[in-house]
Amino acid sequence: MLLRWVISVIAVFATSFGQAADSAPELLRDLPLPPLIEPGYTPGPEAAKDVRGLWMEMADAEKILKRSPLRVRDPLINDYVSRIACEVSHRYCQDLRVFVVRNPDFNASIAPNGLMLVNTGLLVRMTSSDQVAAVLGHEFAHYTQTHALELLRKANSNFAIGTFVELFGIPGILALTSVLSFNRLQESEADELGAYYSAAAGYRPEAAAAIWRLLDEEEDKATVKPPKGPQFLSSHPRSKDRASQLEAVAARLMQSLPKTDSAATAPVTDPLLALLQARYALFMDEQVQQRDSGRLQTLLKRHEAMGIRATDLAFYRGEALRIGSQPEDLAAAMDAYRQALQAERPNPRAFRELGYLEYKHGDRQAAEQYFREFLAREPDASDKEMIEFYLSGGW
Amino acid sequence: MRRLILVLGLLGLSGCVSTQFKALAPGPVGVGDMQVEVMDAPWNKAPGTMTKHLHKGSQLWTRDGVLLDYLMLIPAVADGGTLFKSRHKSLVYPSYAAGMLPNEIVELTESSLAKLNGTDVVVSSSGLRPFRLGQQRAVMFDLTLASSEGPSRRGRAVAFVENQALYLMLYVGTKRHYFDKHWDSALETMKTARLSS
Repeated sequence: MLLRWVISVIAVFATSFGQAADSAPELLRDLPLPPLIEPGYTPGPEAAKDVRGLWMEMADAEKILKRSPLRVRDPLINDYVSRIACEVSHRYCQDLRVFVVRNPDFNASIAPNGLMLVNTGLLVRMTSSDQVAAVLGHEFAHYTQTHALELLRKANSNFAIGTFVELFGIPGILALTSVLSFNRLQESEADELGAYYSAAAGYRPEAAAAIWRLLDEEEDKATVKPPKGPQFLSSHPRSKDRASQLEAVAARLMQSLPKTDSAATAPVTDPLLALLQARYALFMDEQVQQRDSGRLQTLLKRHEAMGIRATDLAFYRGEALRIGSQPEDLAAAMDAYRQALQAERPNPRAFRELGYLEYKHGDRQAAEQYFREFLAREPDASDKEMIEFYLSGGW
Repeated sequence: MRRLILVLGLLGLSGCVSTQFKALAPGPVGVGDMQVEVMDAPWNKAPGTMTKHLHKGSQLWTRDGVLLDYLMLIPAVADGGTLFKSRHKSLVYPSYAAGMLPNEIVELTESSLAKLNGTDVVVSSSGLRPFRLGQQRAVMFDLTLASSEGPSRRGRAVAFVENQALYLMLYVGTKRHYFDKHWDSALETMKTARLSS
């Protein structure tokens, strides 16, 4: 049987942004469960045959992943995620290889050999680096407890997992989680250990519980609702107790952490906010393509609370209203695009969208003005010919 | 792309009618209420079992096999209709709306293809430009379909609206070799598109 690699996925929970707390060594000494593998682990000759075979398959898969056009190569994004993964994995930092992949869904996974995949759709949904650390800490806990290996062995006896992955590619590994789920005990272990790992790295453990609420909120507001909930939730039992359990773990950890005088600490901008702000179009355009106005509006409200620039929010609010395809929303969409133009350096696309909407409403003069503004800012736009066609009278 | 190919394959295998491709001879071919001409044989028409997920009346042609290249001909998508048929409740394709501008048709196509192919393929569009099909006003635009593992693909589409219905002709081939190999032939066929009288 062709074994390629394995899964495990996220689940959740999670300001000092990555500065390990003074009590970190104590926290790591007091882990509720000891890691089952040591740093630097690779299966030697003594390892079971299937484990060695699996490592070889995963090494091959990793080579493919490195060449994949879906892999995000932007150092800003990779450095951010890799740094947090390194922090929450402590002495195991060198054992993890983190790949950020372009995928609009909320998901992440880790293979038994330390290959971690993080979707762009996960990053755009988080509101703090504490939450990102919570997810990665949880994933890392699955790694130290070899949960994914157990899962694979179980799956291997049930069906041709390799064939499934062959057919569906890298996201198939994530998709597998809808078929294969960690059991409740494994999830519970990863929740608790993940909170320890992220707290020991200096992240706020209480952030974990908030992630469940964010995901629930998004599902409630979604225009398109998957019958079984999102992939991530379908692979992680949706329990109202989950957030409560995470809060209890966090409360326990908080007692172990040194008290900090927040008044004496200068406010620090969360690196996640800086990252999202710097690459907002990259993260949001793939969400727009999903054409779920409800989800998009939920994300925008979340980003507004985080402090994303108002004019960037305005542009995507315009997009959300426009793709909602409700005629009554189009005027509001135009207002939003006009707000986006208030930026010091306006998004040229706002001019173009306003041009199209004015054209649609029959105000060709206004449309022309916006189109000219767009071309002045984007003289090499790929749709220049179309815009010039409109400027020359159109149809 | 893998999802699309899997769907195509499974539909082909599971059909109770012919699963054979049919070679198209040079000459006119009806595609719903649209007519195109095969200018440069041999194009091979996929069996109906492989186009069940496409809009009613659509056809799928290929020269070297759907894994390498295909020409998708989608006729008469009416107001509220979709380019593809959903296979499950969670897969909701965006709808065409009468009065859509060309940029919206591009977005409709891009988003529909993204949903059809699944998240292991990133679909992006560019190069929207006006195009003439005889007396018919049309637009042409380019697509890229970047796959997580399989070869990346290029696409080029021609779309026009007649009687408030959308007609879309989309040629897709692997970025390496096959797009270029058959694009001219696909374009020759696209240029002949007209509504049946």
